[in-house]
Amino acid sequence: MSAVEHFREAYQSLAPSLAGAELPWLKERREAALDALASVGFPGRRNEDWKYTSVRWLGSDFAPTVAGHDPGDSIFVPRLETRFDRLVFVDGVFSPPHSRVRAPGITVRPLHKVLAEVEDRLDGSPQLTGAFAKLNTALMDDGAYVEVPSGTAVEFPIELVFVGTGRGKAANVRNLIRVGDGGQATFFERYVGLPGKHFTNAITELSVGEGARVELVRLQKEALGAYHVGQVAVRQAANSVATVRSISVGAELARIEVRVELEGEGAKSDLTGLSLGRRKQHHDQHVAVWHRVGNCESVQTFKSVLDDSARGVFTGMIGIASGADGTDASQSGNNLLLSDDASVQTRPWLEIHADDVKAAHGATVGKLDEDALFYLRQRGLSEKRARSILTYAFANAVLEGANAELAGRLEAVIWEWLGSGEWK
Amino acid sequence: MTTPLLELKNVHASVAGTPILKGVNLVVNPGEVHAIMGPNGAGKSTLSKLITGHPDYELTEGQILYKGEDIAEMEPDERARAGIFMSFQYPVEIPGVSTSFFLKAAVNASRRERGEPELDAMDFLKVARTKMKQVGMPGDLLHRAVNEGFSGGEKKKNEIFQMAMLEPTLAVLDETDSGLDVDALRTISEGVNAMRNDERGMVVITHYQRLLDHIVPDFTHILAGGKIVKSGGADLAKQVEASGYEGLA
Ligand SMILES: Nc1ncnc2c1ncn2[C@@H]1O[C@H](COP(=O)(O)OP(=O)(O)OP(=O)(O)O)[C@@H](O)[C@H]1O
Ligand SMILES: [Mg+2]
Repeated sequence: MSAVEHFREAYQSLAPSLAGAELPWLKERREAALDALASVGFPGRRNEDWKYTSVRWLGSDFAPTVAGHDPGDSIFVPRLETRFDRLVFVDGVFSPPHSRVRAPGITVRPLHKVLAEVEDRLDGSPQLTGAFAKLNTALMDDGAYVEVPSGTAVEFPIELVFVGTGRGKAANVRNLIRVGDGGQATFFERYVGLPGKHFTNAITELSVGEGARVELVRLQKEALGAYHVGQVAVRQAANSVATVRSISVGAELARIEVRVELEGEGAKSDLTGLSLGRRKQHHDQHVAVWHRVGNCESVQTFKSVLDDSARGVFTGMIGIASGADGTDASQSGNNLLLSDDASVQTRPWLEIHADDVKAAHGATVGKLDEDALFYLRQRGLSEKRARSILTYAFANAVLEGANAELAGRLEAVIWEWLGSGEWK
Repeated sequence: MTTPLLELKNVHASVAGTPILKGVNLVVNPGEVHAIMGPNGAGKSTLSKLITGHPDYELTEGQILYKGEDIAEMEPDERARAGIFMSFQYPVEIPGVSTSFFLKAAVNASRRERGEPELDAMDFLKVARTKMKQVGMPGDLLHRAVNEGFSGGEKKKNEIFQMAMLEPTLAVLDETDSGLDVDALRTISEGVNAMRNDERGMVVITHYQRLLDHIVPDFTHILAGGKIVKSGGADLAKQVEASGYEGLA
């Protein structure tokens, strides 16, 4: 059975129990998405967007989850920061005992509770056109719903935690986040899991109001057997500033897409990403920023560190619509290969339909600097430690300007990957 | 008789297959300062890198003994932790790694090796501030990335500052004076002299007599064509200054 047929069958048997089953518009939308998926199919190698990342692993053995599915009692919940409000989901299903929301004035709820109210918001991002977005619409069951009203500044990061239990589940997670005009908030979206095989297909739709400031930190730290396709679709109004910071460490295969639409003048998009891969991991970072109007700024800073026979892909797209004069867009893709068998593909991709714009891009692929390595060793640091320090120095650009509450956590993620818990 | 700190016996070495050192003999006893001079390309830096174990420099014949033990098989970091330090002729810039983080890690690696307790952040800073003053290094450099954007002189001060922090038993200073203004030269020399003691040995590589006016060596050697062609006392440097290497052979 093909993956498309598998998910269609799964839909047919699950439809009555999926969240919002009683909503006619949603049923219609799910079925339209399934039809769209059936007609385009999952991307193959000839699909330019997926040229270097195979989806053959998808097959027909992942069972979509729905609310009411019993997550079992061996639930692993990662260390939670007590000061943060949070929603925790297990295999895509909301877990009330681990969740907590106390900040006043904002709405943080599991999506399944509010589906009736989000008809015009769900799939409101024009970027969500691909097969995985269709699959998600057809089978999504839960995720986080966050509403930060205009003028509200949220003090601590809001944590959205997704735990995969590695038992062959397919979690189609959908998060809807809206920060109103002048609002300020930080989100820490993280994916963790128990060893085993599962598939996460996660979408976050983030809408940023005029003059709002938002930072979304996304950590993919699933178990090594997991498959992870994650998309962040951002729409920004005038004079807003949105930072998306993605760190991808786990999973057998991870594809992280960050797609931004700059829709109001004076908006700024700051996108950074880091993948850390080893063994046979495959890490794909896919970024697309569309300047729909003029006088916006976008910065893409993406890095990968690949060891053993890990493979990396970086596609960085800058789109500038006609009339979007005064655009200032830049992109860098820097890759560090720690072994001769590791490899990376980098693709800058520019589509520019306006004249008075700045669009800079650059990419590098390199190894650790041998002179620097000797220098550190001459001062008594072991080769392993010296390599770790230099690798960390390469990678830590992803942390620049990070929310102070989260920076230490992210530093620790990198050191832990480097196998040295010695950051002091 | 005491065991020499460093003993080079008929040392031959190659870089990328090209022979550079062709039979160097040298004995440095504890407490001694040896100056090495010699024309450009003579092999002075090659000698320092060989002593510190740089992987590109191959010992093809002869022996290098440190405290009586053959160190040919020791890794560069093992040699460093055993007390061998080199001040680099061209200090390396390491973006993204702060000097304080790096140096604290280095100091503690050596302290662990010697069985001494590690310095915590406060202790480290206290010691670092004192020693930075001694070598005339501006305090803010501690918080900048290692050597990144440092002026030529600041890089050299940073080398001597690191030496002061690491307290090596054998220090090889490769052209520490080049790039320093006269005042800095004096300050740094004072810092080096303050570290002279009965146990510590130093090999000071330089092109200029003026450094040796400040750091007066016990012995001076001329390295040319991959060999030590002449050895003498502190006066030998003056002869070089007066008549060049041509007049010596
Ligand atoms: N890594 C290397 N690869 C190739 N050749 C090298 C390398 N290192 C040194 N050499 C060569 O070895 C010879 C000796 O170089 P070395 O740096 O030891 O000279 P030096 O005496 O320190 O000179 P200077 O006074 O200019 O610093 C030179 O001819 C140099 O080009
Ligand atoms: Mg030299």
